[in-house]
Amino acid sequence: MAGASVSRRLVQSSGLKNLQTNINNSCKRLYSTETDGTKASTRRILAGLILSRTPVVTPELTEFEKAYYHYQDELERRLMWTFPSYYYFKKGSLRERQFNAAQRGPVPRHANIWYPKGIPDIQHNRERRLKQEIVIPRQSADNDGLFGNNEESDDSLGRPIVLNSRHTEADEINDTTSLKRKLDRTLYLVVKEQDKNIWRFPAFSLEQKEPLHIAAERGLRQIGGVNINTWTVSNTPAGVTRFNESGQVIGKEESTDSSKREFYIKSHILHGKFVPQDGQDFAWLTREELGSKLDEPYYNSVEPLLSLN
Amino acid sequence: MFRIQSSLRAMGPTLLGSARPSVVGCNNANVKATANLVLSRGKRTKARALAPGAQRIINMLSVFSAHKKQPRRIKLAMEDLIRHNVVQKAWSIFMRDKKLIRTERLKSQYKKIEEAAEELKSLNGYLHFEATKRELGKRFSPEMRIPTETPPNEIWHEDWKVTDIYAKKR
Repeated sequence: MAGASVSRRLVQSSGLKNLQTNINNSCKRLYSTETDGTKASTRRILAGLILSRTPVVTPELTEFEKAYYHYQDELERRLMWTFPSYYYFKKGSLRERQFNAAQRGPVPRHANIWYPKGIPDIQHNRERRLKQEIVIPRQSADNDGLFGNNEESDDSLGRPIVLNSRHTEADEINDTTSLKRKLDRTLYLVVKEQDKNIWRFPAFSLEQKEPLHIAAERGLRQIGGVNINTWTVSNTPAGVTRFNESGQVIGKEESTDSSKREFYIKSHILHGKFVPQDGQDFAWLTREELGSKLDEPYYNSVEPLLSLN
Repeated sequence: MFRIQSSLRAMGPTLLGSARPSVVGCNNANVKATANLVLSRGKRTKARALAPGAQRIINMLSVFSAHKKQPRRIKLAMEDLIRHNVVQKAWSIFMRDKKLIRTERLKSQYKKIEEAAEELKSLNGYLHFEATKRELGKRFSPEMRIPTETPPNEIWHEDWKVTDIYAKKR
């Protein structure tokens, strides 16, 4: 008895009662969709999708970065211990002879000779004052029975290593619908709104009881086909853009409860491609290219959400 | 290497081969043996100091040892030292600026997320609840690829088809 009265007094005195009614209200809001306000707001909310293709190759280095990495590499080579070839090649073996023949070797030290670049200091066949340059004996696949005799076959271990180009065919023809373009940059999917002739990130209206991230993924498959593998970054929208009745982007101050809003969900494409189901124009563009394609107020509102690279 | 060799010798005769120097000094006891020595072409006259197994161990140990393998210390002239310090300082400034831009970007993006969440809360409680729900056990997709210096042979898997497993998940 006494405990209950104390607790009632506490509730009254400390405004806990107020809090309780607040919680009740919010619960009602959470679980009831029948109220007019919620229904109307769902119609004005769109789930936008920022679908990006993350870089396939590392970013292009600046001249300064290249020079610095080269300097560090040279320093490291200069300070490296001598390569213990006596450990890797058995004494008197054919491999040892081939290895030794391929090495250029240091300038030997003799008495009574003037060396303009300083007196050689040689240990283990290495000039200690300089970096050690090791030449790996390369043989053609024909001569070497170990690595197979067929030069054409791709499986042969002796085949030379050829690096793929960072510059692709899609780069040559500047094919903006291709995902194989600008491999060192993040590409974003934008579509052309057919009736208005403007470029936008795809945005979709919500169905009954549908969270934003589900709506975005569902909408993408409706307009771009199901053969597309994506990974949604988060359920939480990354940003919001508000529009007035005529579709112009407006600021937070000018917006009212009745203005249209797009909440952006971020997602990455992993496999597959975007195939427009109704012939819609689309493009995969970098951040800079978006600047020239999208109208300025819209670009300014979404640009902070994009990656720097 | 000499030090290792001598310590191995101290360990006892097990590691050292049974071979002994064939001619030892001029002791009286050995005079008879010297007289019987037959020299033949191609025969190894110098006895091996170590058994092959022990020699292999020494080779392996010497790979890890700095003995005789260290290069000379770099002696920089004053000008070179200044040049080196300038390069390092320039690099640290470059990296600091890069990091600063990145941090600023992340901060502003976090503000955008907060702003969007607040706005969603005022508009629709259900959507806000779903959007801010904690995603327990969320991991990066194993199909994501880390950028490499050159592209793979198949740059993009365009012919990917949605399988039943994926269809069920969605």
